Amino acid sequence: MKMLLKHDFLQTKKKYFTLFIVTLAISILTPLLIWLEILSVNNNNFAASGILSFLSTIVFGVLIAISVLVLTTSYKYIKDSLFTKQGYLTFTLPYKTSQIVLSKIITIIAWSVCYILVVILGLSIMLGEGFLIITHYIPIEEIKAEFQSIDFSEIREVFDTIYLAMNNNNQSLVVWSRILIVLNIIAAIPTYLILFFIAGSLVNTNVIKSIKKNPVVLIFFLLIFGVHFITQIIQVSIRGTTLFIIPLIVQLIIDLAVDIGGYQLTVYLLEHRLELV
Amino acid sequence: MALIEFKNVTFKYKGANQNALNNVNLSLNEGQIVGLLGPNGSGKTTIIKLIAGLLKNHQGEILINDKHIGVESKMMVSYLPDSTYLKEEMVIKDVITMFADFYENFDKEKMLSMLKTMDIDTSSVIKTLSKGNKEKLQLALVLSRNAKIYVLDEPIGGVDPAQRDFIINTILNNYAYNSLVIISTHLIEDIDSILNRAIFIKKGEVVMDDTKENIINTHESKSLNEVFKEVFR
Repeated sequence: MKMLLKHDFLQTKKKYFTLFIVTLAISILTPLLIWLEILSVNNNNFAASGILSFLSTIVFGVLIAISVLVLTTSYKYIKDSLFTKQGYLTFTLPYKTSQIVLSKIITIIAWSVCYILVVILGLSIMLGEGFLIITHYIPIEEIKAEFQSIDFSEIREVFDTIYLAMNNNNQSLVVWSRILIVLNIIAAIPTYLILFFIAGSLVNTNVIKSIKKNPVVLIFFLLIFGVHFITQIIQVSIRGTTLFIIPLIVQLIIDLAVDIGGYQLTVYLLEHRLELV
Repeated sequence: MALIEFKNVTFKYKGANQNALNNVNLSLNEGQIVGLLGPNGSGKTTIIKLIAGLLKNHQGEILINDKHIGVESKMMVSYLPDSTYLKEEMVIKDVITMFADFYENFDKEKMLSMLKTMDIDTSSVIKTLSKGNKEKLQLALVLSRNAKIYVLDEPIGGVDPAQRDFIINTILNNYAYNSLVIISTHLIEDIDSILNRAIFIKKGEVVMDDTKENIINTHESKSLNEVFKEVFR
């Protein structure tokens, strides 16, 4: 499967890297644009300020568009490599269907995690630049003094107290609930991707007849709604329990069930029902 | 033991009113160039896709080298579809690397030599190639594998007569000897000279399956093309 992963990464790296670089470029550009706008206003240059304000809006719009593009790039890669003529090559490779699907899931999850890291880095750059700009107007000693006056340990204590109360004042449950929160985040990452695979497989194997222009997206959102609806029904029915940990366990089980069951269903549909024309 | 065996194979596409293949029985051995001949919609591509592992849920049994279709058979079968299946944005040298990585039996030197003969630059992007060159590229990729079975779906359809001769000569000069080559086409005149066996398919059924010599001898020494016209009149 090493070769499958290698080539899935190679075939997608150009598009994702481009999006990452644009995201970082915008992160660097945005605070500068805002600063130039402030300077223009201070210098009563309202025309320049207007133009810069307009550019800032465009830049913000581009940032939103990039997030959408990251999703559509993933969607297009799955669709093209499995459900178009490229599928003739994909499904005649000397690998099991399960390996082919798993490779694509791992690749897209890896790129999605990279994008999250790029966004975090971008935000850090923006905050860093913003801080530098602020120090231009407010002395750094004043800023330091303001931060030092905030008692962060008090804020943390408040959260800890709430958390302990949610777990029946049981310290070991607090530890377990934190572990479960992390596990839930990890389990949720592939869930949406696998729901997308299921949607694509259901439509392209004619289990669900194609009645609208983009039924895959429609089925995808219906599946998300369905999973959340079932999760909420179960959570509401166990709301009597005072333990915070129980809903976390339920959420984890549901996510794992969707991940594993959805993967198996996708492989089954592609293995037994796909007819590429 | 035959290299490819079809035992009572019937197949119907989902939503279709009739079977694409009806009770097909075939036994193909190595060391042959077999023509899968029939008009459009007769079932040639269906047979090819079943061999390549692209279609499932058939009735009957299909064996390749005495095994059911799976990972092992895909390594043995080198498949050329009737249209481009490569990602258009890819550079040719990256495609060659990909094939070399996926297929142990891929001969990179042979591939580069064929591309040189075809005057195709490996640094070209696939979408910049003409239709004819795209088909030649795919053919070169398929023939560069030292496979036991080559399955070529309409390799000369959609190209001009000069290109057809080039493609046929390329097939003849580059496939691994002692392998089985299956070529589906309705352009029989062009392919006649290289076939040693012909299978005629009509409406999903095999109506004739014999060596070219026998077919010609039993039909008053008519050419394969003339026999074809007679059968499919």
